[in-house]
Amino acid sequence: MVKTKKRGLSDKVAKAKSGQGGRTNPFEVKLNRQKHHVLGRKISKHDKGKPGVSRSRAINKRKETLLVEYQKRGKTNKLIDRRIGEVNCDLSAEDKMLQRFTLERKKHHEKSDLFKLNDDSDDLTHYGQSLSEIEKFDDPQESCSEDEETGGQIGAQLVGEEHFGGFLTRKAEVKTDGRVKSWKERMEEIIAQSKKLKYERQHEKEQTQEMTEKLDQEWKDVRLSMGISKRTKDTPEEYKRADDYDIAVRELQFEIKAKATDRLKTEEEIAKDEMERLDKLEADRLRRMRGVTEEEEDRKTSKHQSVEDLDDGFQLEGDTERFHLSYKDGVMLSADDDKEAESEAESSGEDDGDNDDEDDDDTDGDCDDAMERTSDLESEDEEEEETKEEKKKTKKKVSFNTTVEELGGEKALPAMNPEQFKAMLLKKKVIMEEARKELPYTFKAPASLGELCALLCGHSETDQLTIIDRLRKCHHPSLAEGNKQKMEELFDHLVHYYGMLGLQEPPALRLMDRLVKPLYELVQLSPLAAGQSMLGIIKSMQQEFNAYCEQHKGRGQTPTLDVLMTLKLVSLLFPTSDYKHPVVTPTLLFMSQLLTQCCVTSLLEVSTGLFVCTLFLEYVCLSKRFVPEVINFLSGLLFLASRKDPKKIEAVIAPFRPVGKTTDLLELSGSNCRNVKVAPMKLSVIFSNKEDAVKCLQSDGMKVCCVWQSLKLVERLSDLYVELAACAEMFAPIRHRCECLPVDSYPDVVKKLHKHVLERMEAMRQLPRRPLAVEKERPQPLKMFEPEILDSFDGKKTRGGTKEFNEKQRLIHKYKREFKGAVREIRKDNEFLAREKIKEQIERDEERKRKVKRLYHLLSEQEGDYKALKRTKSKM
Amino acid sequence: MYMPAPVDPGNLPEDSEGKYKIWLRERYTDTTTSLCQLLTDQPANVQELALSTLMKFVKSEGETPLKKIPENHLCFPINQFKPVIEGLLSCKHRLSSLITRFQEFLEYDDVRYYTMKTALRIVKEQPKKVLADTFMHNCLTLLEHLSMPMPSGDDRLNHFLTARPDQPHKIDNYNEHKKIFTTLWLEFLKLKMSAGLYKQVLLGLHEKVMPHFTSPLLLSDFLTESYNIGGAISLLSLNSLFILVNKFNLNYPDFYKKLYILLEPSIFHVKYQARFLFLTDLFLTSTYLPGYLVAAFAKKFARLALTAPPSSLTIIIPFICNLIRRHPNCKVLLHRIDMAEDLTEDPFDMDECDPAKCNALDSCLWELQTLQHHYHHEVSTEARKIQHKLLSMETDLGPLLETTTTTMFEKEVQKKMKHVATTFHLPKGLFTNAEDQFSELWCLE
Repeated sequence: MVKTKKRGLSDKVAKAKSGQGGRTNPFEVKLNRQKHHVLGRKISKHDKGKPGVSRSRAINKRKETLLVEYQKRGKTNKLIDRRIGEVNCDLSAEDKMLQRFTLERKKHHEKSDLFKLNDDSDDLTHYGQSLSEIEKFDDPQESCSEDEETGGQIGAQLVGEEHFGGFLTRKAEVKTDGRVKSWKERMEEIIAQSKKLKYERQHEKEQTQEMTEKLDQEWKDVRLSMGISKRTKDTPEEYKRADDYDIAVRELQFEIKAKATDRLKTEEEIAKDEMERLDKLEADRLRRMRGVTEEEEDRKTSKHQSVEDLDDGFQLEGDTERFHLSYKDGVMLSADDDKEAESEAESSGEDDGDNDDEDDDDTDGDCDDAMERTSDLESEDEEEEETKEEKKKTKKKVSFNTTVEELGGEKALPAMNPEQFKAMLLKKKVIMEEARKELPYTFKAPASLGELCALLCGHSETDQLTIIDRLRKCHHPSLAEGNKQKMEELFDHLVHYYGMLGLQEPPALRLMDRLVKPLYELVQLSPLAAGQSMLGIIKSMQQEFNAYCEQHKGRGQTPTLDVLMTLKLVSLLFPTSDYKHPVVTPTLLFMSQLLTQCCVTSLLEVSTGLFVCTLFLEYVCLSKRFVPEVINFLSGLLFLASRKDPKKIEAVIAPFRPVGKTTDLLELSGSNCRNVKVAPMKLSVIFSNKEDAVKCLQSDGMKVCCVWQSLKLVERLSDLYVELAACAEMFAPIRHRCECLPVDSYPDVVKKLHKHVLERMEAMRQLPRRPLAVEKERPQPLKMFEPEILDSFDGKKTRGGTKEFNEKQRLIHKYKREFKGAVREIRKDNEFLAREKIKEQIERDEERKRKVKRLYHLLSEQEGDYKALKRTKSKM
Repeated sequence: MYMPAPVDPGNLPEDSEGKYKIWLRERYTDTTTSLCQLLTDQPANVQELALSTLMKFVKSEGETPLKKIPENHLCFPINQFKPVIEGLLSCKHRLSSLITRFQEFLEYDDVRYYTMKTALRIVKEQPKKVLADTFMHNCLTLLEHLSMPMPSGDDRLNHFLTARPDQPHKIDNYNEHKKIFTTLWLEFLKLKMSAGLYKQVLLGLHEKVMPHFTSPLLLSDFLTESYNIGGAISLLSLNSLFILVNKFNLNYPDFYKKLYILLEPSIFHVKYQARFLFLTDLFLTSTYLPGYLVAAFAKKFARLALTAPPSSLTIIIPFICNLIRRHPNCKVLLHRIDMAEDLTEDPFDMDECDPAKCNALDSCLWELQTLQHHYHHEVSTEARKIQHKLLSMETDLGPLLETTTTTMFEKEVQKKMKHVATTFHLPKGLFTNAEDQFSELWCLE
């Protein structure tokens, strides 16, 4: 009852409100019309405004707050303390509290009891049940439906009798004791009645539900039996009905549309196959190292001969191939090897040593391998036992063999088939030799540079490469979890190893050359890590260089071959033409330092400088970037080679000096150098400490070579930079030096080259120049309202910029808005106050005017009276 | 251990006590002489001990003079003090550390005053031609350590080792100190110096010396001369010279012309590059400079930039752009419409010493266009800015001035690596690839 009432009320209010909204005067509404309708954009809430309404609201609000404040501005308020007993100092604290408490209770009592319906119990009930119990919502649907049905309404009869008009037709009910029932009694009766009815209804419903459930249960049993009979009955008929058409349909349905083909192998699988292959080969190698041929192995494994099957003459074979397991220097030696072991060790000393290493590695490191081997040994032991048993049996059967056996296998057999046996022995030996020389197929990934060196040292170039190759295959990232990291480490170690090779005497240039390929492949595997480790190496080189510089007054250390070769490696592994590259850019800066800070005092420094120049050239040959350092350096070299006027101080650029001991470093000492053959410079000669090499480095031939190379580089540079605007100015110092070069004493090749270079320079000077012009600023296009088309739209607009930046912008925007709002409010407050003030002023003025008028009036009246009196007096 | 004997001044009686006193006086003199010898040619700690002992003698003698001093005379024992300075300005040994130690005594005004006086006498006495380098070094070190007090409201100085005179005296007059300081420096600068020493003098001149001169203009002769020497010395003298021109109204004709001559390729390879560029920037700050001059500077710098290392280029390019921003009439260097079509040679004359005659205003900054293709991306990006209209804000050169190749390298290395591109051609070997520059020139043997 209460509920419905409430609902109706709220509806009414809402309606009234909406009605009010609809009734607004259209002239009072301001519309902010949108210029462009954008699909998907929310219509802003400011599209419609009621300025009149909001203004009046604002004024009212100000009247309540600001105006009150303004009016009270001159007033000083008094604080009245109305707390009980606070003023009265006679009361003790306890009494005070008591009084307050009683008052509080009284107040509370009066108020709370005002609308209380039932006094006896505090907890609320619904249908006689405590609400707290009902709130468990055991069967909410029931009560709900009940509510719906009856709605708690009163019967029509009752309404008719008791409500409107009913009063007239109402018969006065008489009580048993003859008294007319009072209104209250009647109402109680009605309530009791309706409650009873409700109970009945509820009871009925419960019963119905119980019955329904029972029925459901029964139906389930019945249905079960019905269903089975139905199914058995239907199927045979269907089968009968299948005709040709159906068959055809079925056939078409089940026809294979596309046949499965062999799947292409993924990279992981290929790697796995490769790994398996290597494992197999390794197993094979181990087997052959033990000197077992494949056929024998096969026979051994498949052999399950019966005891009687002894007639083919090779019954002692097992014994012959048994060797005493003995180790020498960690190498497993076989019995027949024992005799030759020493001689062998001498003859193939190196190889043996290699094998030692490998075996050490294998036994030390590779647990799996070790496990395999022990298991192999075990199986061998078993086999041994087996053969022993066999032997015993043969002893019994073939008695003439026993003596031979005891004497030893080798001597025993020739009796059977000497040639064959010898051949077999030979074969075995060869295999074992091969196996010894052969490399293991699986390796443990080296954890440090030292381990890698230990793994590689002593092997031939090809073997080293094979080892690296196998390392890579064994630890392919797709095979196991940590392999990628292992490969990254391997790259790092390998680059270091590559550098170390350059420091050897003589440098292992061939191997370095061939190492490039595996390094390249490792880089492809994980470019980021490779880049980081490469950068680390370059960084450490640069730091070393810097430290040297600081110790030697800014003079740099001449780069060694490993530095140069590492720089060269960078150009092979990473694209040098990139505008910015995390590895190449720092490398270029380092190279620039090498060219500008290393003193040039010997031909070694000249040639390293030339190498760096060539490197620079290679770095920029695709991008055609400008490298001033190379030009400076080459110009300096040509200065060293040219004849100098002792009186004139030439302008040369660091690291060269205009005066000093080494200014004639490249000047030819002998005049007869015309027959010197120019050839590419040999790195091993330049970086050798041997005497003849050092001598060779100081010869005129070398100087000629240097000049030839410089000219060659100049030629290439001029090709590269011919398109640059200032190429003539750029090459001007070089041209000047070239002109001073005493070409006549150089071989014809150099002469020719020199002439060509000069021609090129001259041609460069004739190139037309175009004046510089700033690009015209394009007119700012009008904003077009074309839809912005995104590749992938994820529901919200993304702004450019970082998260912090956007947050800051958002805050700035918010601050601005708030600030503006605050300023506006203050302005409006001031306007309001000004209005109020002027109103006051006007009121005051009017009041004053009125008063003055009244006074004037009074005075004039007085005056009039006085004059009248005077007149009368004078008349009189 | 070397405490001076308490010797009474005045007449010495003939009795035994008198004799003893005479004897004592003689021993005292002996001690001081040998201590002065110890000042040089000894291990550093002995030298220092000797010095401090001698100074203690000076102090106590000042307090209790050997001879009777007339009224109003100073009690500073000059005779005792002279040999110390003479020892410090040795011709044989470099005593820089000892002189540094001596600095603590130079805090005292009287010590400083007499040091200057004695040093002045010694410097004046020196033969002009043959001068030991060690002497010059010692002298310079001593001069540099003269810590002149900052002039305050109170004219009288009051920090004395010995007793302060009651009445105003030369020694407590700041102006007197200044005067003698000036004369001493001027005398010293007249001596012949080695190049290294010259540079050292010039390095500290403007900060340590010039403020204490009676008139810094007295230095103008010396500075003009050093400015004319050329090279690093000229660069260094610029600083002091600028102060003279700027604050003391020195009229220096052809200042900019000489500055222009200083521009050589080597400026980018010397230690003082940052200082020089800073000063040049300062000199060219004025917007009242004629356009041809600024254009000449810009063009010359651009030309020199063709030989500069990347660290200098990162400074030079914004520098040139700043010049053009300041002087809008130089914008033709970047944007020219009226040039002849068939131009092959740059109108700018690189070898011309006079900025007025080098035709810089007829030229263009092709060098910057070339530097757009520089191998380092920062340089290239900087140079590309000239393609568009220059922004009106000048670039602040301050943080750039200290750039070196190492700092650039470190900056590059510190960048976080996100992606590393790699080559996609499998290299066949070190020198045998396509696009290889090595195969013809180098051989792997």
